[in-house]
Amino acid sequence: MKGKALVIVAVSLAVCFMVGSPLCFGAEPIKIAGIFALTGRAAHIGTAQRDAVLIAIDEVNEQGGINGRKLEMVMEDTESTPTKAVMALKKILEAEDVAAIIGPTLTGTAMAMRGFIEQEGIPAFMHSGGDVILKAPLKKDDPTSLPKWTFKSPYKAADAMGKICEHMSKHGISKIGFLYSNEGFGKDGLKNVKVQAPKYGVEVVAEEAFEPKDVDMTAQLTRMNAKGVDGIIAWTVGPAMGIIPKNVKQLGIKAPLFECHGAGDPIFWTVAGEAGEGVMMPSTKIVVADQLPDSDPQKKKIQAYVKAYREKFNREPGTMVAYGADAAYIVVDAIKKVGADRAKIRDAIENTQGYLGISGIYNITPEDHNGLSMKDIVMIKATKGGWELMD
Amino acid sequence: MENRNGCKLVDLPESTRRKDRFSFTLLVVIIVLIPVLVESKYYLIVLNIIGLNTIVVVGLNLLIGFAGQISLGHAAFFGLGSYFSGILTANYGFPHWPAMVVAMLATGAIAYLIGYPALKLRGHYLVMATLGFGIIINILMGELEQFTGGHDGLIGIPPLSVGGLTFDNDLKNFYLIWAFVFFCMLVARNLLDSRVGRALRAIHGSEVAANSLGVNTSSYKVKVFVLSAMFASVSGSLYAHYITFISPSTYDFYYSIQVVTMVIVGGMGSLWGSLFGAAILSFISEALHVAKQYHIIAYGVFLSLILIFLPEGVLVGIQHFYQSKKLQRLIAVKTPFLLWFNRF
Repeated sequence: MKGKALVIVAVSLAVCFMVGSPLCFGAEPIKIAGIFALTGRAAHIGTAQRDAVLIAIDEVNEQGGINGRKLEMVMEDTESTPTKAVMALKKILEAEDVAAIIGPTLTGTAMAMRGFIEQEGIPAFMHSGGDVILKAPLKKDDPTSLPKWTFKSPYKAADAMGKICEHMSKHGISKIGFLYSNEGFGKDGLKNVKVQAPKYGVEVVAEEAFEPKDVDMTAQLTRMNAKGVDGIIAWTVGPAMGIIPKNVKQLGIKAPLFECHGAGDPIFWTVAGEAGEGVMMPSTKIVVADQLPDSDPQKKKIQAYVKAYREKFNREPGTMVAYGADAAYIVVDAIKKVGADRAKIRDAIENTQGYLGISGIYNITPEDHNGLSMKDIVMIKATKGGWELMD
Repeated sequence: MENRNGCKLVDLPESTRRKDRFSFTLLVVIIVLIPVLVESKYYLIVLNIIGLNTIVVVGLNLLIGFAGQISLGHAAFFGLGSYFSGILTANYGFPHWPAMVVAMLATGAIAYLIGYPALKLRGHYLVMATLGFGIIINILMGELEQFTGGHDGLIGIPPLSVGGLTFDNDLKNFYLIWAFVFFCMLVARNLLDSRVGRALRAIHGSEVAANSLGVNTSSYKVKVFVLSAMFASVSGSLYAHYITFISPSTYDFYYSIQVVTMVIVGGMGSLWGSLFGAAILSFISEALHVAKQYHIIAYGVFLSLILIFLPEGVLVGIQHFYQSKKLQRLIAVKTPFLLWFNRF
């Protein structure tokens, strides 16, 4: 009896292997690389984006995958440093057969990875803010050598600045002060405000810088106030996001305060506390999903996503989450259309037109590997621990 | 082995020389064999980063282990190498190798300017000077935008080449970087076995004694500091040409701390310890990634364990442990015999 049972097991196993594993164990999964800043200085953004991507992938898998093949994310940590990011990239490319890359989080890590991504020829959808990723040529002496395989989901920082200036000119603010953190992000903002403000008839009468780790900006704000500004833009992420509103309240400055597009995140209330009340900023629609007019085509999609995010992680999604989600959905969509071939995925992503995303409506072209415009950005106001949509 | 002065104590013993010859041969064999065994680009890049770190750590160990001075600014020297090489080649089309030499000499000169006043003073003034210097250089990397590309980084650094051979992939860079590691270790080893080395080891033993015997301690300390900065600069140049993109965040204060940790974990004053320290820390930090987001904690625990149980460094610690075992065995074997012998 025992012998017979063994024979049956052996035969059935053999049949399984002969027919091929797909029938017995399900098809090979399609692998996507997820490279995020899970530790280091950008860990709070990287982990949120990882969760955002996981939701998109789980959703596809619950619906039975793509042509019967499940999606699987292979994850690596950049530790928020460029060298580790390149190592993570090579580790994944070597160990796994991945169809596309989602991430990384920081602009510096993205710039370091970019060259190797182009060399390898693998589509990469990044969540990093810096426009330089798409704008800087790959070869110094050839300005047309722009990245072919690299895309990014956050809207351009220039557009966010434009949105603030547009809002200001509508509300009669014409003389502003620009306060920025003295590092890459802040200086990038300074360049942008000088281009965008004149377009909307807004004049920058005061420019003040502070170090990212500074704990008090009253000196800068006092100088600014003395110049009679009727609006202040503070361009920074991190603890300074909360310190500046506190200082503004302490000094009794009446001029309205605007912050950057990274501020629309629950972390803003953690650092700003009550002083955050009334601060305005450009943002993706995700933080004000329920306040959107019903005519907004994105409303339903965003609401469904926010619900899924809350259920799964039991916290509120911030504006960074939207970027992670869109990068994932667009890549997954491309795979759905053309399969797991890298070159075909790249072409499909580049032809994404009118894609209804969480951050906005993506119209990606060979010239514009981002695809969002100023129309996708909304102005929001920090109110009672939450956000209020402004016109 | 007796030298001109008839001084036996300070020369390296013949057994050490034999061991060193063996170790260097072994290193060459391993370097040549590794690419045959390892095909993965990932392992090659890990090995390359280990190599680059080793060059910095060997230099730093000369300073810490022999001159008894700590530098918290080696990220800056590493960065100066990268940026001099990168700016000269990418922005001004300088030939690669001369640019690397210029970078090395310029970094050395800058180190001299810092080391000369700081090392005239007794005590740990160099730590303060290099700490400040490292932070200043890191800020300058971001601020001097027209040269460095600012915080967006410097793009378009060409790979190194010799004749028709361009070092444009991980394997070619492996041979290049490890050839430099071998060369730098050889320089360090021969230096320690020379008149300068004897002076340095004397300073390490007792600065006062060395001074009283006519060793110009501050001059030697400055020289070692400059040399160690030049080592870091070479490593930085190689890094820039290998990754072909550099940005200030690579050269922050944490990198300075990291290389000092490598020296301590490997063993202060131990040449092979430098290689070991760089290798073990670079490798462990990668291997611990299996612990997902907890890898930082695991890394901390690992470091604490090393410092608690092997405070003199892993390699030196293991050697001592082995030697004490040998001694115990010797005692265990010989004691009964001696006891028996004493009865007569």
